[in-house]
Amino acid sequence: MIITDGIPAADRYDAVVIGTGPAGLSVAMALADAGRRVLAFESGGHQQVRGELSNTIGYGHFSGEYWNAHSIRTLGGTSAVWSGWCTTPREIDLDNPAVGTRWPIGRRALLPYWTKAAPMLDHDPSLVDFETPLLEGFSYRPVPFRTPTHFGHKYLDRLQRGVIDVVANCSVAGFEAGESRRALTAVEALHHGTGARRRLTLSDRQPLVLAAGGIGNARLLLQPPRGGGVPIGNESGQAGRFLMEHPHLYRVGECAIDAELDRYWPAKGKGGGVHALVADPALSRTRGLYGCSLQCSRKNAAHPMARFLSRERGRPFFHYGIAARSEMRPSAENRVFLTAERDATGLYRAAARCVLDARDLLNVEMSLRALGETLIRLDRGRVRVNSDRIYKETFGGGHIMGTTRMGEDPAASVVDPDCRVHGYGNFFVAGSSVFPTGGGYANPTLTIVALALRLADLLVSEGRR
Amino acid sequence: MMEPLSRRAFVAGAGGTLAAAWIASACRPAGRRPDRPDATAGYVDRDGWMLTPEDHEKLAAAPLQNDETP
Repeated sequence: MIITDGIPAADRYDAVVIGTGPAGLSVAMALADAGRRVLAFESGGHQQVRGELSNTIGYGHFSGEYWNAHSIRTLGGTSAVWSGWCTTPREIDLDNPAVGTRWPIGRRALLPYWTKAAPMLDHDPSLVDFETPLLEGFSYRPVPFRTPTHFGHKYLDRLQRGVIDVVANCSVAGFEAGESRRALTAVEALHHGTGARRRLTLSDRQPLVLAAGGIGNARLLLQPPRGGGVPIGNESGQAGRFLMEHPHLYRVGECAIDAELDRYWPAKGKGGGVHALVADPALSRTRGLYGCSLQCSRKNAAHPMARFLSRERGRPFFHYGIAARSEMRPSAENRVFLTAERDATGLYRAAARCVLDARDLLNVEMSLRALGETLIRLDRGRVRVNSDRIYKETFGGGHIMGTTRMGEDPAASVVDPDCRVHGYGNFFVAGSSVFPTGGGYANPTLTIVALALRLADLLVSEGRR
Repeated sequence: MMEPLSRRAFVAGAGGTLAAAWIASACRPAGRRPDRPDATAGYVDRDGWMLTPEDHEKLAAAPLQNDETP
């Protein structure tokens, strides 16, 4: 049921979820499927983005209003602007020495949840993790695309049938915890339509899942509590740090190769995607490469380089343009922080600084050159590198990651490998804010939903309420 | 009047030159040996294509009409 005229007490519910994007709704629906009663808060409405709430000020390479275009306050959250790409990180994407940080959970723990998450996003589970060898040192690993799933539309029926109670146009304005800080004891909510504020008490057996987006999660954990002191959930001082994006670089190169990539696409007649080549783990380790998907499109057998190689070698070569989706390494100085300005909820407005490291851009050039060297060595083709496109024209993908990072060390991370805020029994975070790294180049939405389903399983298995 | 270069000074000078050459050789990054193009050097033509010397010779005789080159 969607509640628009007030804020119910929390004691009727088994769990509280803040946010109805892919993370929040996935947790809420999985809990509801297991028979749990769920109360969810959404600061937006059916289609409205609330103008009186604060926007984030961007600094660095992603400046101005950049983050606001990817932090949407509506039922379904940021799925409203999702572009529909899904792929999984490889094992090396979760533990690559060149990145300097590893995930505390591996592919084995995530794979069953990627399989469950893919259909929720209207993707084929067999395609999102597809990979096949292409040539020594590089694999063919396409990135599938589907018409984007808007969670607020696709799952609206389930919400209206009363499976989950969603309070629309209602923001969370603060948390309370006992002196021991072992559990949340209350959450304060503000209803924008009526202006009413309500303090909802929580028991230590009642989990609260924070799923307010990569900026929103950090912003709430950075707010000073009533009476001052350390923000609730930020005892580590790590909330907001390690903000990451996936650098997107277009027309960074081209190649002429004796492989017709269409032949490798595993899903003829099963939807679209983009051909992509990735360096194998051994080559990545040797060269110090990290996540970089070299995405090949615009096949052209008549290109002069393809014709030259075909003529010289006596076999067909095909020319492709190359775009790159890549990884930026986490840095503590790339962060969400608070400004001095308060918004309608009384919370401090956030700002975000995110600066790409030169090494992140060099990684793209090194990946392209590794492909070029490999094609020369194997006499399989040639690569052209367009340096200006790499170093002067980098974009983001709207992937907001890393601001409440997951880790085993409570001093160096915000949540533990179960996505539970360190030290709290009933406080959890869902969304890409828990990513310790970008997970290679992989688009985050599939893993966001997978981690949410994994969290729901944990909450059910712990038998909360 | 200056003395001609003594045998000892000559030997010391030649030894120093040889030592410098040996140090330069030993300190050269492994990937920069001329027989092994590396990921940041490679063979690159003026348009950014990574090519072999043989490619260069053939393309010099009949240049590409590369419609992708900006």
